[in-house]
Amino acid sequence: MKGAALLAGGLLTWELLSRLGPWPRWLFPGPAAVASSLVAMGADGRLGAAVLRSLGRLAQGYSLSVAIGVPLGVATARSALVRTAVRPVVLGMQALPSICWLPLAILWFGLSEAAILFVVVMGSLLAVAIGTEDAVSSVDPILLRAAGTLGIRGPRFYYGVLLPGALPGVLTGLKLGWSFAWRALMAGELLFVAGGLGQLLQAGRELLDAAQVMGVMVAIVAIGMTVDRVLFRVLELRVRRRWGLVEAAAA
Amino acid sequence: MRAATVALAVLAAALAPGCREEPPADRPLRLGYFPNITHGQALVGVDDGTIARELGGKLDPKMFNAGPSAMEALLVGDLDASYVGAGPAVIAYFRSERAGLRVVAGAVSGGAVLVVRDARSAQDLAGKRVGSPQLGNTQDVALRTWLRAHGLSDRGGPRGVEVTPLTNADNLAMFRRGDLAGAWVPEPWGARLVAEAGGRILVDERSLWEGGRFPTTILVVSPRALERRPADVAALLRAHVALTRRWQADPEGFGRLANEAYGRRTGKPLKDAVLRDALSRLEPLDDPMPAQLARLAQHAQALGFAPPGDPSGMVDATILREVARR
Repeated sequence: MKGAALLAGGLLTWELLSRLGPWPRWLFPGPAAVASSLVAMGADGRLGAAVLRSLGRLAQGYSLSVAIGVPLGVATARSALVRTAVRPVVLGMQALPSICWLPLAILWFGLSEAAILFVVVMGSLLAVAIGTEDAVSSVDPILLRAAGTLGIRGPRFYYGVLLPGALPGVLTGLKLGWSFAWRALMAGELLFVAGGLGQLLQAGRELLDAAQVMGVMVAIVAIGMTVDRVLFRVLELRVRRRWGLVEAAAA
Repeated sequence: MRAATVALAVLAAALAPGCREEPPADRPLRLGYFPNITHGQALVGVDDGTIARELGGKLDPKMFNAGPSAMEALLVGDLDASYVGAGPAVIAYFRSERAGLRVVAGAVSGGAVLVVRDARSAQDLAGKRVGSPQLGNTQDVALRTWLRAHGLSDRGGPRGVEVTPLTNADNLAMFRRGDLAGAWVPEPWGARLVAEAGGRILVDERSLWEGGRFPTTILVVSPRALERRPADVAALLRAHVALTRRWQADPEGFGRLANEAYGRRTGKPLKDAVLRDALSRLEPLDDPMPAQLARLAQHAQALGFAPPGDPSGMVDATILREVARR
């Protein structure tokens, strides 16, 4: 109730600022104009197509990141050799904003889907790997020792003890990787025309349509929040319950 | 509560576009233009000092790479005047609720072609990808309007063409690689696609307009400049008219000067043959062509690029007429 009232107040202030502010209204449109722009984009199918395209790319790039990043993180945590060889590189490259990969991506892959995917993977892979490594390194040593005592080795150790033990932490890494992937995707889509939300945003700028730009921003926020709230919240809750962390927190 | 008010005020101040300090009237006239052969008057006029001389030295030329960014600058008051393509100017005019700019003169007519690899008609392009220089620019609007007139959608699909806005250089590269079935581009890129990528001209846009004339580059000014410093606008127009006449009188010589200026900015002047071919399809013209601009506006509105509105107040040729009479 209070939340809804605050939201309504915020929207009202925004609309009033837009109408009464000293700047031209077309440069700073209010929520009504933004909403009608969103409806128009939805009605002629542009928004739906862009969302599908962006989410499709995200799904591909993110799956690749997870498929490479989780094993990489486990290897870094478990093997001294890999740690010495890979860790400084991973940590160093994590400091590189994903957009920096774009020139190289275009040189290597041309103006193609692969170029955008590359940027998404480079943007999120390292976050996933670092998150996994931290999680695996901080698994309770008693668990590991018990597994050793019980003679559990090989794949059974990894899938039965190590990964489940690290799962809550891994999930945090995955979540971070997701938001990095989302950012990288927008950066990649902004730079050249290939459908997707980033391009819809750019189109708004090129047509000097601030309402469209804001509308797409709202859509991006909404999707980001939905994925975060629905997918990750549910996953996290299930993992925490399974590991008895919910009850522990409640107590 | 007080914190919220302060936050709001800070936000409002940070977000305040277009309410900048008024520049003093004696400061240089800020003129936008692009490093492009279709901006010949600006290239030659800036480099040989013609424009600055008429303005008594008060000229601040600013180079842009694309129409939308130049129009952004004009609308928020960072530019007083600009050479620009007709498409972005039309969109900016309607987007600013018809308050952001006035067209004071034409600059160049013609000079836009659809170059294809092997298509013989519009239908041959169905299901393929065709390049344009920029979303909502003059050639992009022309291409989409032409496709629709031939019963093809401009949004891809089997019964449509995927119109892909790319920079001119990328259009050339992708066309050469075979990633584009065609490209609707301004000169000299049409000539370059033919000479360097083996393309063939399918449509010369002059054939689509009555009399073979349509606005490609025009000269726009901000209403503020028009109102507060008409003498400077008149000086700019005097220079513009003189440059246009020079170009009309000696196309080859003027074209060479424009090419030298183009080369100084891009590091790569055009080859003589390409330059001659490109110049053969365009025509310097100071007539702002209000009727053709109105038609272009209708096209842009039909495509949803510009909000609806009446284009009749877009052109203000009063000063141009005065200057031309002298």
